[in-house]
Amino acid sequence: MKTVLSMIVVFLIILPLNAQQKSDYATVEKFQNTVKSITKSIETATTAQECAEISSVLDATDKEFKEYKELLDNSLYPDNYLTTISDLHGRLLVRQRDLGIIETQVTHIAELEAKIKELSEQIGKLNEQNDKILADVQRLSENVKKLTGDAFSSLTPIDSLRRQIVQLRAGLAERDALIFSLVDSLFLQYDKNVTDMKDVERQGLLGKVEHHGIFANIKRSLQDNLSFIEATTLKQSDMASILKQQQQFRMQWSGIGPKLAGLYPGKQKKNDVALVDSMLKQWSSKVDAATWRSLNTLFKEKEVWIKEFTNGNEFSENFIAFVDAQIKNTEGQSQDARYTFFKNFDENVWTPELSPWLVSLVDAQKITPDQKKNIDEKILEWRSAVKPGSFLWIYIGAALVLLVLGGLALFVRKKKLMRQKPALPDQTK
Amino acid sequence: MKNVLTAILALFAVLTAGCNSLILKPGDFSWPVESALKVNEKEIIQDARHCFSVNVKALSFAEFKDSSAIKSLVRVIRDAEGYYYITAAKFKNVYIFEDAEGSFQLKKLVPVKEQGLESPAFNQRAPYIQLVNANDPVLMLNKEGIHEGEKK
Repeated sequence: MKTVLSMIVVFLIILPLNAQQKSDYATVEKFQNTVKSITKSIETATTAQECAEISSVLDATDKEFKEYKELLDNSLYPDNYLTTISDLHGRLLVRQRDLGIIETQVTHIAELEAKIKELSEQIGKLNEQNDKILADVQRLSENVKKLTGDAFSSLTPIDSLRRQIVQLRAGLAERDALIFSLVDSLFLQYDKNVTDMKDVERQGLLGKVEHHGIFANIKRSLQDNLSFIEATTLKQSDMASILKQQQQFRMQWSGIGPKLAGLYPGKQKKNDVALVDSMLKQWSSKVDAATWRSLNTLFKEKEVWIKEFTNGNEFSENFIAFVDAQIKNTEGQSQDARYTFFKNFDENVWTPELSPWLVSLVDAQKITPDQKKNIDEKILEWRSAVKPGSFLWIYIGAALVLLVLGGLALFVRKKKLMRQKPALPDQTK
Repeated sequence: MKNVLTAILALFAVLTAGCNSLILKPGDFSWPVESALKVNEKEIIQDARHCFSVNVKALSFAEFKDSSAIKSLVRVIRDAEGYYYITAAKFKNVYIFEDAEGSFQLKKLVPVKEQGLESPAFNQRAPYIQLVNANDPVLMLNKEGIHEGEKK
């Protein structure tokens, strides 16, 4: 705790110079105070993580004050800037040796620390970017709906809206990945289970989890994903990515959630974990509803009149019932009309849209592989029932029947004639 | 007689040589950074780094008409020519001093802010001394006074 506090002090001290501190004296004083804090932190460090943190702070200090090197060289007499920084590095090295910490271990942790910082900054930028795009998508969707009324659909040719949706989907997925990568890097620094951590290590990790707002970021990510689903009508390509993203999120959360909760004493964060779990469920049900909504919309837009469905079983049953009706030709359409309808269905719905959808639905476990197989087979059956090739067999069959009938007629006639003709007298007699 | 004249001339030469001023130049007396000095109970400021101390009662009286009114840190910096620039929070002026026997002697009084400075600081910006104060525009000073910027 003491170390954590001293680290916070160091971080506070190296905040950017403000307008008040335009004076060289303030710069020098600030540098000297930072050096003092780091020295104290080195003396009290007890773990590899603390040493790595100090190393990172030292690098950040060097980076911040390098531009004042000349001033500091003149002001720190008889020392100078470089000797001061080198002295700190030396002290840290000695401390690490005293603690029996291997240098590569510290380097590895320091590298992870740098990665964490970078990831955290990227998440911050993506948060801003996604907020902006989400607002744009919501605004554009509303405008388009107002303009087109009920005619609005996923196919409404609004290029800018489509672009924004694709961009937002990518942005949301990227942020999810960054958050989990950040959490992963945080835990990697300690390279052990939460239960095996010393109190000081656990406190250190907890401080970082709080500092980077992990729970807040996860909740925000889920909330944005929910808003995205609510605001948009999605295409199969969107949905396939979202389903994949959702599965990934759920899998990663199931690994990380309990670890994060375990960091907090008592039941402090149990509510947050439960909230994330419930948001995940909500997301899942929204994606589920959006999936069936998108498919129902697709059929309506293409004028394929399939009874509405709200789950995988209904979808499979209703679709097969529709195809069966087509095969049996319950409406008594002409062969040409049936073939034209199938051809349109194949070219505009099945091949470009529905077939890829089925793959995504199986991947997302919304329909079973058997249900997909049945649907595929039904489509083949429908095809062979209506395609022109099937008429030829009918003609050949009919011709064969005619031939057999003709043959039979000839045979019967010949027999009749034979019976009517009197038998010739035996001339040998 | 000739010898006496020669001896007198030699003696004159030696004596006048001693009277010629010996100048070492160029010199640079600038401090890289100001000193922020606390006034002690005897109204003295002491700079351990530059090895001087001076009583500031007169300065306090000149500024506030009270010889013990300086409660904030006194900011002191020296320019390349060796002049000392002194001010402090609530001061309306910057005082420019030069060395004198066991004392500082006022060279120039520079009024800088009628309402008094809030948090002044000097920076060495050779050949000038920069005065910064909170969010006010910076002033560039030399021994003659304000060289650049405007007083408030």
